[in-house]
Amino acid sequence: MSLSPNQLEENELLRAYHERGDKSARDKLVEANLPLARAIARRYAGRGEQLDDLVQVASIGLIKAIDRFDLERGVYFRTYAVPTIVGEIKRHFRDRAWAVHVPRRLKELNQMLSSLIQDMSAQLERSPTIAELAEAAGVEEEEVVEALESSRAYTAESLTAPAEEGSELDRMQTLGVVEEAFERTEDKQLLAVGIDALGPRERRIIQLRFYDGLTQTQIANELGISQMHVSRLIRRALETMREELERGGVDAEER
Amino acid sequence: MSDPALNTSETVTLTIPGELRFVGIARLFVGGLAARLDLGYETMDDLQLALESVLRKAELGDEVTLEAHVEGEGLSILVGPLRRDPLEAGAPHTERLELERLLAALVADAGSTTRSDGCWLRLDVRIPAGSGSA
Repeated sequence: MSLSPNQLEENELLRAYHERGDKSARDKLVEANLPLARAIARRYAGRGEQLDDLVQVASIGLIKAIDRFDLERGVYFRTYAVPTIVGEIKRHFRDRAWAVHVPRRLKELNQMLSSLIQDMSAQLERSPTIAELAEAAGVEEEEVVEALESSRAYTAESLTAPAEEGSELDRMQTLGVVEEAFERTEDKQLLAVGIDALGPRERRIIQLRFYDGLTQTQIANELGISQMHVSRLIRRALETMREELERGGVDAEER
Repeated sequence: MSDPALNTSETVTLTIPGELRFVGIARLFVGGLAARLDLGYETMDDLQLALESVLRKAELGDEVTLEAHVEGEGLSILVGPLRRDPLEAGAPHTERLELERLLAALVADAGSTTRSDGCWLRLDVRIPAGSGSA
């Protein structure tokens, strides 16, 4: 197998990560291969899912590929990564297929509520109530509850707000800080299972919400995204961690 | 809000099949309570996630019941019966730690109680005076 300089460097990084547990090597691998994940995601755009969401899913597939790659198999990393990423996207489509039938009026109301929650939280200096949201949106309270619920089911909605485009790499640079914070926690057993499957932003949000005790609103302000978006990312992160736990999780006590 | 909030003497109960595909109905249940009790969006969202986490991690029977009570300035939701207490020391270590961590961040208090039909988990949130709670 004749390797290009880039592939040689990639193999070195993979070796550093797998053999020495060098997390910074993994971060570099993620960063270097994000264009590949995006390119694959674009292939699946226009099938009822938003591109940003597919990029998110593809990135998860990329991280899984890095974590599971076996250097001894003698194949190029990308040869292994591409089907892993594609598999993750196909699984996403399969799992979410039912969810794309959310009525348009609920989707539109949900988008309106996302803006209202953000604006009213700033104005009121607390979360608005359902009644306040209903009044502001000019709908019944039950419709607000229904629309908010539709956002739980309809995960096809973009997971990456437009304002965050281009800032992904900046956020990735914070990964080292987040890792250090995790190392300080007492429950490393918990974090050892599932946390590695998360992208840098999800890790940071999990850290802020469940270890640093920040509220959704505080996290939203810190990251410059909406409260509803924080809520979605928390759910997605917990789901990813749960899947990882179910797939290969060994009880922490046995480690 | 035209309808009166839940009174302390009233209990709102929902029984659903013990299958995860009914989690959405449990979330709607919390959403309805939040509307009646003027809970803030964030409190509602956190309580929904707490309840969802319990339903996903607990060993459910054929049916699971959610009981909502207002006690003083708090709302309690009891979830049960569960085949095993997910917070007890004998529960799988990682899962118990994870659930404890989640509940500590999402609700004011959580605990378990035993009834004749099995274990019930209790989730408490505060309802501050006035509208909006988070």
